Amino acid sequence: MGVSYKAVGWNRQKKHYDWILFAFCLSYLAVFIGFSIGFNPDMTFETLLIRSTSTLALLLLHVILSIGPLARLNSRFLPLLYNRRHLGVTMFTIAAIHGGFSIFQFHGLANVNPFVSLFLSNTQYGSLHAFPFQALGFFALLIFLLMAATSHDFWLHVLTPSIWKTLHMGVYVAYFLIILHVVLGVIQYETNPIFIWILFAGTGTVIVLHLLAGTREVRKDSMHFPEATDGFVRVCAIGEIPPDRARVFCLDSERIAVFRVEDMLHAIHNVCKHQNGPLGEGKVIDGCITCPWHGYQYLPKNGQSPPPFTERVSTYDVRIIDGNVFVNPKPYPEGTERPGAPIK
Amino acid sequence: MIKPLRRIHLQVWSLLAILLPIAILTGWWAVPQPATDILLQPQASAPLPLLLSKNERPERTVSLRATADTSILQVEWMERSPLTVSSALVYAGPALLGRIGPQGVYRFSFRAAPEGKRPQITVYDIIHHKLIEKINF
Repeated sequence: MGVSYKAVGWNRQKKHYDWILFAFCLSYLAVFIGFSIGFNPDMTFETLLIRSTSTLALLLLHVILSIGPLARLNSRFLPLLYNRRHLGVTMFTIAAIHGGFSIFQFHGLANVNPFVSLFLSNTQYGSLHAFPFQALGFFALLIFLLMAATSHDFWLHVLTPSIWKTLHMGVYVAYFLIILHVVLGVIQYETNPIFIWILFAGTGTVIVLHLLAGTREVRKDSMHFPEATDGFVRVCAIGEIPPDRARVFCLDSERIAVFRVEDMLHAIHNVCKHQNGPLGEGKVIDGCITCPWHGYQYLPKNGQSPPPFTERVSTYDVRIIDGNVFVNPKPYPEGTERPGAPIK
Repeated sequence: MIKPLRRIHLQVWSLLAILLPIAILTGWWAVPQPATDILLQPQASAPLPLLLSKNERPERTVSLRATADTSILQVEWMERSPLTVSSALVYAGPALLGRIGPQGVYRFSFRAAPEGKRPQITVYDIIHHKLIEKINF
């Protein structure tokens, strides 16, 4: 969360994370190139670079796609989610090196524009074995470029969260294109079945994680709470909400987070205004409800971001009767101050 | 994440859970089988027990073998370096015995002449009409 524009929002934690990421990428490339030279000393530098960057980008893409569901299944992965954008831009950079060198290596010496050569040097679109797989990688890279270019919060504000999120869901199309790029490319020529099994393991892991997290969210959404009086609904016992944390309940198709802040309970809409992050999975820091995804903050009593920020979320009435917590699912306009419920 | 987004995510991944394995399996199925090297020459038969004569060269050893009663003779051709011609035929006198190709062991059996005369072995390139080798045991 920042007041002014910054090209890269680095704090101490993000710098630490980026150094680890940088060291990992360098180590991976060094090990891959070292082994490749060991097994095949005649391999050219361009080929080494193309192969090492392709496998690294594919590995990072799988990690990126796994972070979301992992964070929903286990909150210990939330710090990775907080830093996912840097990982995404790094993956794009490595994929762009792979794409750039591939075009240079395979189309740079053509007597036509390399990009024309990319699409016209092989036109066997009806064949599976000889399919022009490079075109698939090219379109996936275009999607990654669009995502990397609009990854900054500036674009989130300009495009609005819903458009921005829709745009960034293009990663799923890109992922499908990348898998086809690999299957119709390297898999057709490297006949060792180990490559197929690695690909199966990667895609299988990502699919299972997403389906697990998705079905768990559906179960949360379909929990039923019987209505008590005056439109209030009993959601839990007071002891079920830990200090400075929340419990999330889906009432009338909306998720509401009930926070315990000092000796009070406050209920706000669970969705962060920044990127739709789950506020109820965050905690109270310096008296503010803090989104676990990117650290956006809101005051518990009115759902407003502290000045000079202007983000606001809806608030709800909450009551405590005989140690039970009751919430009225009717939302107040965003930023409306509510008294909360004192814990006696 | 808002509820519609959660639903879309689950729908997208349910679709990918079907499409991705199909894509990988289809791609795997499309991988062409490696071409297998089929020898035109049948497997060499077993060597006959009696060694009558041997012709040694750096690139090959050619032996004349026979059964114990010498009624059946056998030319044993052990090629150590690949022949540079593609159509080398082996003759025992005027009779065609077979064809030799890449390096390996070739054995050609034939009935011995009644008078016990040992045949002249010739190797002939029928495409270029050229005599490659002539061996007298």
